[in-house]
Amino acid sequence: MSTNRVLAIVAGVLGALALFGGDTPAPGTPGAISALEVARALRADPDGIRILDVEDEGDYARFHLPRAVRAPADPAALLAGLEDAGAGRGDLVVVAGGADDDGRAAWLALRRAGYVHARYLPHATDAWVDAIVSPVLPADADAGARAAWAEQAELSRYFGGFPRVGSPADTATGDTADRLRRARRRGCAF
Amino acid sequence: MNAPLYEIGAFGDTGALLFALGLGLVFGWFLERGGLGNATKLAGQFYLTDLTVFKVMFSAIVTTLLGVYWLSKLGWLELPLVFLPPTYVLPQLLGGAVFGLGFVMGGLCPGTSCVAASTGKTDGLMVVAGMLFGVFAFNEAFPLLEGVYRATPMGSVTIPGVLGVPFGVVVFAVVAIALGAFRAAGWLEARA
Amino acid sequence: MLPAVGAAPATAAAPPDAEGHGAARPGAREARPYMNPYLAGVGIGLVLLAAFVIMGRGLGASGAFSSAVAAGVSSIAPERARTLEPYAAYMGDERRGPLADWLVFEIVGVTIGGALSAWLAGRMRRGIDKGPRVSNGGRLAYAFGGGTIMGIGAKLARGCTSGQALTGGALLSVGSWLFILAAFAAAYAASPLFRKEWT
Repeated sequence: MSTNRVLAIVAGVLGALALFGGDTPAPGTPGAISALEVARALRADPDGIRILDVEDEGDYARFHLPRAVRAPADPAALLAGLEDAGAGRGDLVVVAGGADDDGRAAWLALRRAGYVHARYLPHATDAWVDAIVSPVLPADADAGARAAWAEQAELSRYFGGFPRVGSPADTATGDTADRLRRARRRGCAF
Repeated sequence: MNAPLYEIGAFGDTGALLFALGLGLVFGWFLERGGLGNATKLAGQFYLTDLTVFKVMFSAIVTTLLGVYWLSKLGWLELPLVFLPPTYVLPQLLGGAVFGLGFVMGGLCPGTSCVAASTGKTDGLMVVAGMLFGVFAFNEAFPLLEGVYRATPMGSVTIPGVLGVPFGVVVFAVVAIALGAFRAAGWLEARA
Repeated sequence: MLPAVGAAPATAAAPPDAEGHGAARPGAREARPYMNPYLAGVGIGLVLLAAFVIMGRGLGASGAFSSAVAAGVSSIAPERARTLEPYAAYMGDERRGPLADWLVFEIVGVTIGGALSAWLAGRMRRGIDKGPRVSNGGRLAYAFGGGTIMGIGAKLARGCTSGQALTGGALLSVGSWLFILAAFAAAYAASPLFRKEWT
């Protein structure tokens, strides 16, 4: 039997079986999302994004993203909760992970269940503080970075943060908890 | 489920780049082996004298499609972790048409132009140069093109998703059409 | 088919014909014929499948050209490359730059793989692939023009035959199949314009 014959038969059989094989979960968009992207989405359409915070109660109470709702870490319960809330499979759902967890496990469950636009924000609190609450532009940043900074600073102010330009090679000082405390002392609503 | 390996954290960014190199190597190898580094052979597609492009491209699509479907059904590949390029109806139709025009004019596509250039073909080199210029021209003219570029987004959507049928049904249809088309290609070439 | 050894015919080397037969240059062993296109296709399909299984993404080509252009513009006008969106999207991260990109490495691989295959098959040869009725200069002009047009089309469509047709096609993406249909339709429709170049 010629090579082409063999190829055609194999393809034909696998293709025919596929007719009865049924459905399979679909491919989708990348998993990780940045705090900046979440901020943009929130500002553009606050009702168009669902943020699920999978941290424990204490951490959630201390700080959570604007409009984030608490969600159970257990995938089955999380999915059930989403269904009850009337989420559509095409909705933008972001899993905000905690300090030790990047939310990937919950995100995997969402994707497997068919939420094609599910994303996860690793270490959400740190990421949000870095990007929105107290972002810092190093003083020696070049023109390109400054151009990008304009939008970030604006988003930061929109959410009540305080963007600043730091000393050369400065990165935001102090750990996340420190920076949140300082932000609250300034009267910012965190 | 244990794949895609990168998405489950099996290796990092440097490993990813090395895989890119390796996968590219085998890709380029088969492109050249199939004769796709030869512009006259590629162009013959559009004069119905040499349907190699069609045969290579669609047997590749069918192979991967069957592989993706069955690996997913067997639980060896997590499709939701695979990146599906988003759909933009208008710019992809328009861009496709523009690309097709350039393809029959240049005789090589971006990937095969690199193969042609590396095997000594000056025309391959000129297609590469043209592509770089075209990308540059597009970028510089972006403010004018942005409207069309961003029009009609649909997100990452599949044909079975949009038609509301199981993935396997479309797999079957594509394979059936491809096999029929390969038959027809054989007849056409025999008459050329 | 045994390679021809020893003294070559005194005539100039004939370019490989459509099947790949023909000597690459006088005295060289005869170029091997091309592989069965269906087998080559299966080979490419398996590489693409490996990309999905290993990386969770497919292959591409035009993106590497975007990175190269971004790198080029960046070396002349860094501000422009960082602030203008179509360039900025391909600048990668600060530390590693635009060329430390998956598609750039892949295309480098494609180039090497193609050369390796041609070299081992005796198909490495300086020359210009063209039809009998067009001049070398004419063919090169068409090549540049066609490349330019493809560059624009690929940017609009966010991919080319590798990224949209193969990768998106194998995942049954709606936009990718629209791209395939539009590209083939346009190419066939435009083919009468270029008869002189190819036939």
